[in-house]
Amino acid sequence: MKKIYRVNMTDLKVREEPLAKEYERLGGRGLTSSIVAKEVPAASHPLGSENKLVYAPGLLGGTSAASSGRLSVGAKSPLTGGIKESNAGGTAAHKLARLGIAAIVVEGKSSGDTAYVLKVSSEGVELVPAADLKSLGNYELVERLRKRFGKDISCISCGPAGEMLMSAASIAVTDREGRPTRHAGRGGMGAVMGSKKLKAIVVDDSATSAVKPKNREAFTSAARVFTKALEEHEITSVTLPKYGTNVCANLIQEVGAYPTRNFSTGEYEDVDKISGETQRDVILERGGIATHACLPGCKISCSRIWVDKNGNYVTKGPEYETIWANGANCGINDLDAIATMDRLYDDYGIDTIEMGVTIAVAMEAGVKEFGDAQGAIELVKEVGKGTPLGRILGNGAAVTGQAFGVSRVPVVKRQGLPAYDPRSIKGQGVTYATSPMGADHTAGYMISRNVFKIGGYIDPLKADGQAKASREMQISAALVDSLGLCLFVTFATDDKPEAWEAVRNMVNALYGWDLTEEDFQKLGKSILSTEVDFNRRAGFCDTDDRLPYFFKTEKLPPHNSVFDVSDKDLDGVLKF
Amino acid sequence: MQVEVRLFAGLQRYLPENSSKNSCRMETNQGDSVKDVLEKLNVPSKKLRGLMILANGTHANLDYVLNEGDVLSVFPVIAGG
Repeated sequence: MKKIYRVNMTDLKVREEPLAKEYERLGGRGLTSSIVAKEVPAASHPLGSENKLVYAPGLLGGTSAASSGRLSVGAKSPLTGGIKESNAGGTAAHKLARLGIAAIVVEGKSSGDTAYVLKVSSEGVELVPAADLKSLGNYELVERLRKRFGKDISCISCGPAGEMLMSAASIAVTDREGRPTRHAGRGGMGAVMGSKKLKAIVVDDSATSAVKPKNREAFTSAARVFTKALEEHEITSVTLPKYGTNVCANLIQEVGAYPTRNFSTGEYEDVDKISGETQRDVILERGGIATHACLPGCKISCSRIWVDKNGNYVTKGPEYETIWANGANCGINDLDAIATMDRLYDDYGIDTIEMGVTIAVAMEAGVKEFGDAQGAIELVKEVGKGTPLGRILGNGAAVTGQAFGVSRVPVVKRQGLPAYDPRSIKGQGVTYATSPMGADHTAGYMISRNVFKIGGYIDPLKADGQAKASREMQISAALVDSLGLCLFVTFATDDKPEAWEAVRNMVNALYGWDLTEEDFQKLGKSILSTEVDFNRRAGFCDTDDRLPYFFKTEKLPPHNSVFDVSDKDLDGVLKF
Repeated sequence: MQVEVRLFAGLQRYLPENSSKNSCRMETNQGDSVKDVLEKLNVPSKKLRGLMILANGTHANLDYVLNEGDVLSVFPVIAGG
């Protein structure tokens, strides 16, 4: 039977309990959101002792299922004020699952000044005081942790941004090389971790092996069908490994939805300098790694390793969202500058999307000029130093817009919009507006339907049909996030129904269940309903499910489109 | 008449010599479809199926008939994000 570890940071006690019956069919996002919704007072302060930070591998975590090692992190968000699940790749989720852990729930709040490390292994969990690790950047932190606890551990950590309680702070998870490059980025989960004075969790699974399915033969057979689909689909087997996530740059530019200079236009004149194709050429020329898996067992390998002009490691990727947010959105056309920012973000432990959106808002205010790469790097360093300006920026785009009197602030529920302008990809706008997570692209990735033509096609410039499709995609995302699968597997499963059936067959074989597709859909809906209900109790209402007003009134070149999906349509998206 | 053809994500190899990195201007005939243009560029017929085609930034298909000044953008099947 799976277990939950409860770590009370008020009295520094840890407790093991069996996974309650009501949670036994939940994992990943389904589990984090259910625990947060049930146990955290919706009106409580996200940085107070009542908030709980929940880490959970997905239902398929710890198995040989391809691309199944995502780690969900949930809490009440200091950025949005609502419920939050943010997930990351890296090595930790598989290890937690192999240790039989369904979730680690961090409760209370330490009143002392010492940082703590939670050591997790087959012998149990232990809180270790670690004053010497306080305020360290993630890179130096994980180096020290690996020296102290062993080089094969996984680290889950918050950087100085989290310790300074910034609302955009992320939680880092180490990758296969032991670097802190994979982040639960969105919604300030790092600040919740920092508020509890938990600097890191180290996971040692050395005495374990892969999770054993109840029905091994059926599991292996379903896993084979699923893997084959990923290996055969052109996107997951050819274009994503070759060009990475940033292959999107040219395409989103060509459809006129590549937000540029704080969402003032949908085309960036220098896109070629920061595109996926250019990124690949530079990486290969410099001797970097052009195809890299962010988690063990990934069959897609859409990430990469960026090196400087001398061939020295700088950072992973950077990924499409990071390059857009800190590139086109800030008018910056320099991949090296963007990689420098990405490295700093990972080290400070702060969300690359929120920060790019924030810097663009600061540029709109005249703090720096659009296109000033060195100026942008200086702003990022202010965040790391925790100066008054850095603290404003580190609290995200909404706070920065307010501090500097900017009226074009692209946020929903105070979370910055990702890399698709909702005026020219309207389905994505529906997801931004209605997701309980705030503006989040992965919560219902309508780019699949509106642009890639995967699983159907809906004209991105028309309002019709977007609400219904976003609802379907949000249900699907809630499920995928609960299984611990990478969202990118849906590029294959949405095109190949037998691959999605194989996913369900893997879950059934693993646990000895008999879930139908209808059960799956019910599960997805119930997760979303749980999240929406928490937000309502936290004070959210229909008008929080809206895009900023300028998306309705400012026409976006080149299509001169506005966001015109009706409020009535938006209000019905997550009412089941 | 002239159109602009933009090819991405590995399709650039089919651009004529002296093109810029991703695009070229092409002389086409009245009534030419996207398929005609791509065949002129020697894109193999087996590659034509499944391409993502945009005409002036909106989705189109191989049968779309080009007009003077159109911008044709062509990608293999891609996704990312």
